[in-house]
Amino acid sequence: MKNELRVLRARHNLSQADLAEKLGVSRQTVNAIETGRYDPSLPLAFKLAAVFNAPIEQIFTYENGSH
Amino acid sequence: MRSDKSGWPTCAMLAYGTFGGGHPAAHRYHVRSAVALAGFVAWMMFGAAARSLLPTGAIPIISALVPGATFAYIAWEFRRYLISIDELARSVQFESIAWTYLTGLAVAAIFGGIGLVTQWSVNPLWFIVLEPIRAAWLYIVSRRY
Repeated sequence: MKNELRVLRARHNLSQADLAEKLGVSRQTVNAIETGRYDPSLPLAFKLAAVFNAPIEQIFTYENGSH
Repeated sequence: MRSDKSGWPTCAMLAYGTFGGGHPAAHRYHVRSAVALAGFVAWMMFGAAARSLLPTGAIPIISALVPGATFAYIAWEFRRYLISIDELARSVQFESIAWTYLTGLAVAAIFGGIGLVTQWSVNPLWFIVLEPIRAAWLYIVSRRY
């Protein structure tokens, strides 16, 4: 799954640690999502959408064949 | 400060099988496990001395129960730790446990086969070695993220 997390995070001037704190997860989790190595659960995706005040489909894009 | 590195805490993973004491749940697990292990060691030392003086009675029975009780308590605390950490950390922990289980099965099968041929048997207490194996798997699995 592709995502726009890095762009959105930069736009909101948040570090990975800042975003992790807002989401209640570790910085490693934010890093893994951002680099495409981990797809978040639906509740976490909704939390991300709430933090950035954007629809989930604007943050995540499904790619055929992605894990 | 911005960082693109995943930055998993290697030392904590290999030493404690957790992602470090920075998380309150991990800190609680470390402290309570250490207290339980210290109590375990203290009792075994006391029990060994006491059994030489009083070979029958309650002390041998308690000594037989203490290792299981100690590690059951540590397992309970580990469960509390697992439900307190975030979803990726929990996923990495679960995968490392799964790989440890499979490693344990393979090693048990190998030792069982050797035992059938040579009459050699392994003390079940050696299964405690599975814990550092889990720590090693934790490190390996975390590299993917």
